[in-house]
Amino acid sequence: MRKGLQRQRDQRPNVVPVSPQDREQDFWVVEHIRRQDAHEERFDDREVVAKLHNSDQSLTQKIVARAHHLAESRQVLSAMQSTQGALSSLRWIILGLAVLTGFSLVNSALMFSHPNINVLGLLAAVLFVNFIMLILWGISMVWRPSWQGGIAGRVLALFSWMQKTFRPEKSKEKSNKQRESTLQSWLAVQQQAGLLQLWLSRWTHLFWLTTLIVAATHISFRFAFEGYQLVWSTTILSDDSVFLFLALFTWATELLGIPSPTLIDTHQAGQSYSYILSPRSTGLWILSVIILFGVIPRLILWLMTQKLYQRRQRRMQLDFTQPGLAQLIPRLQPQQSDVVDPEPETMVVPKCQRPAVIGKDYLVFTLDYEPVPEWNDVFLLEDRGVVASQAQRETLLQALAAKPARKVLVRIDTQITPDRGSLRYLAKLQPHCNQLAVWCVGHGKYQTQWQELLAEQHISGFTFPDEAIRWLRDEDIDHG
Amino acid sequence: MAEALKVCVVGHTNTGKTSFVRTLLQNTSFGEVSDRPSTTRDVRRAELKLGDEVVLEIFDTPGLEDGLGLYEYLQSLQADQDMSRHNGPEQIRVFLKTPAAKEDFEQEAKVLRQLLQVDAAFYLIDCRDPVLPKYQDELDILRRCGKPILPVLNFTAHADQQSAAWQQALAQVNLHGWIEFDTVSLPEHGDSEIFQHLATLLPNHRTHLQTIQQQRQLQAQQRVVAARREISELLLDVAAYSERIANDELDQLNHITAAMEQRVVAREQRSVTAILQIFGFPANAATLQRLAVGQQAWQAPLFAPETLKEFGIKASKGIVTGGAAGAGFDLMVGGLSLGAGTIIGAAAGGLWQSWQQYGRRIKHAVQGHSEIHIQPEIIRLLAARQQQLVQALMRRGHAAITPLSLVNENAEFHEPARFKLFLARARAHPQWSTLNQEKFDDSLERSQCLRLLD
Repeated sequence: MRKGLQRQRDQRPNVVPVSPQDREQDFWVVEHIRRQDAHEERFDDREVVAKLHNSDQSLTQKIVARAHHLAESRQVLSAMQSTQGALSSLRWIILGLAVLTGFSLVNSALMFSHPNINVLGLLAAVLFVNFIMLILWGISMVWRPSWQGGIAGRVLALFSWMQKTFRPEKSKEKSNKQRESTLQSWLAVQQQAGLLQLWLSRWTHLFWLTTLIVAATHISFRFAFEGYQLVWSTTILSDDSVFLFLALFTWATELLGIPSPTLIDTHQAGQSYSYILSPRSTGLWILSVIILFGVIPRLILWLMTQKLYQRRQRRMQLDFTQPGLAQLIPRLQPQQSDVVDPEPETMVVPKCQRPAVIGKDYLVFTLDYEPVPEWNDVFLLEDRGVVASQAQRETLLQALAAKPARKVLVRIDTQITPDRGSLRYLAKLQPHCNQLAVWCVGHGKYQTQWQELLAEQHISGFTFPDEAIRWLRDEDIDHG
Repeated sequence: MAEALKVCVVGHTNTGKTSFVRTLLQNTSFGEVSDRPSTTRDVRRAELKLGDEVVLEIFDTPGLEDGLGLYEYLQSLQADQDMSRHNGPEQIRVFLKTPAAKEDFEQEAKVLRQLLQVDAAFYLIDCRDPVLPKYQDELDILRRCGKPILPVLNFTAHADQQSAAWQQALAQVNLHGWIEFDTVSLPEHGDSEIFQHLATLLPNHRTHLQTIQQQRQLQAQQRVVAARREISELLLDVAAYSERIANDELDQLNHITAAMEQRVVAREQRSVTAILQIFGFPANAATLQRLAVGQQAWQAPLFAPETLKEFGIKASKGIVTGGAAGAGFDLMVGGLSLGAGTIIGAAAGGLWQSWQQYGRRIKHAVQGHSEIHIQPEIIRLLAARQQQLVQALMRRGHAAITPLSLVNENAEFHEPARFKLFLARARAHPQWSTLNQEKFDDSLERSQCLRLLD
């Protein structure tokens, strides 16, 4: 575990399949940094984000790589290693407790009735408590409390609170705070991935597995080197009943060819009967019952929870909706864009030519669209109407070629965008008149653009009707 | 997922093609947007990603500017070269080899060259414009490329829009499928209609497009969830925020409340920036009015009936919690304690929770201190404004240029009881506020409190 964080530091940002444990470690680092991002001053991550921005890694890999980089620069990894150490020590405490429990259980059962060992008492001492705890575990798997993290979450939260509350004052320094927050991050990761319950299950099964193995080993040692009389004592049961009770276990042991206990003698002391069983076969049978009904189910459950835990670890996903992560997505996911057909070095711009002819009359028309159809009701000018289609444009050009005009005034709706086609047509008009001007109608959204482009073409542009009419009637010689 | 689809965005100059691509990409920095014609003069490719996978390649093209001239040129070319009248793509290919495609119609040639290479095209229409012959000619030229074209009526939210006239004009050239999509003000259902319509035009890619549509809807939902979580964090930070003042230093009150106000304002701005980032907008896309912060009641009514009632509720919750912790302990030690842990845990848990909430207040009362909190009205106001921001951003296209301006607006919570509970819990845990940074503690209980606002 300790090596895990170091390994990832060395190998980032290589894209390699990571083990479930490494994945959990990665997500732990991410969660820790996320919490700092969301709750404290945001890290200056511009450098690492810029580096990751265009890399080929997946979004998750980028987030993990960023988190590792920041964790390293903030010396968070050492605090995480320390928390890992504390969690590992918890594991050894549990295992130690299991060894002690297994040893004590057998010891007290054997000591209690030495040298006559009650078979039922021994089995009950070793298997009954285990069985009850198995039922409790089953209930805890089905019952899902509403509080965060369930029972395991509460246990660990309590552990964290106790650590915080009862530690000496002098140790309340920054590094300890960081260790606390790494534990909180670890808890949050476990809780988000639904691992807490399985985490507790794993340790419960391992605890009982160890207890039962220690108990079985202890019994076998005691039976091997000490002499016991194995009995079944009863006050009310008949012989048949005793063997019926034993049959609860013997069906399984007989399936495996393990001989069942045989009765060798019966004792009556007062109101109670003691059935003396064959010591050799009964001793072996007791061991096989503990293994079959205690060790093997716990081993299977432990392996199952272990497997499930690893499976969930493998399937862990980052929740991108969490504060701190959600903002990272646009920053880390590059918006790839490139030019596939570059702009030309020079654009072909329509050029107006100077007039070569002297016309007599004026001509007014609207290009493309007339926004005020009744505009001429006041001015009463000779209006050619709207010229919009190619045919209309050609007809007008031909008419002008046949009979050039002195002045051509083009009304243009400034709500419609200027374009090269319109400017090109204005350029085509120029050789057929002495003066060309544009009446920019309507103070539309493209008025400025029209005026700029007309100025580039050296074409006069009027925005007020008076200006246009005065120009047309030669009242303002400055415009021309 | 299948190979990325290729679509290009075409249309007359200044119809909002680049803005449309920005909105699809949810990226305000793509390309250049301006009211001047010919802003885009190159063909630019952008990738639309879902997760880490490119699902759509979008080509932004220059605007068409001389539909009338090009139409006439193509007609003359068709007559000169004796080309089939019914083989549009061939006509375009011949045109692309002519000198005109490098001179007068260079920009149009770029568009047509790209259109020949893609799976489909969006034809952007500024529906504030009337239907003009030059636009109709453009459409005819584009259709010669033989690719499915989906007309997109842009600026439909504008008062002068002429959608009906455009729909009629499109129907006349057999384009019966179109969508109304304002790149500045998005429809309520977002951009899903775009992909739905595209799927009808590209039946072979229907599944792919449906997946894109679903994934984008999911992404949109995730953005909203992420934004709400940000809001919850803000509200918890402000609700749990408290400052302590000695009763004989009341003259410092104004000074302290002013400092609190500043911190709350800064915290709200941090939340706004985060939410803008989530929606892919720059930090300057929203402006907020200054928030006024005042002090709450001075002495917490420790022995008031309501507080006692609250105490009762908390104590019973504490017993349940403690009991559970005890049961967990029993499990761990193999049940040897035979349930004693559960009973002890219940009592300890109740006491622990109660002390956490009220012990601090008792301690302050004894020491002659008072706590200052932010008024609930302010918290309500913060919530309303942030929700308003999220609503506005959900409808805001990435082509929008003017900043959003949010005004103070009071609003009620959907579940006032939950808010009340949230407020009570937050107030009891000043360590849950990042504004109380020196004692900040991010625990599972804090997360549980945040969930009250989900």
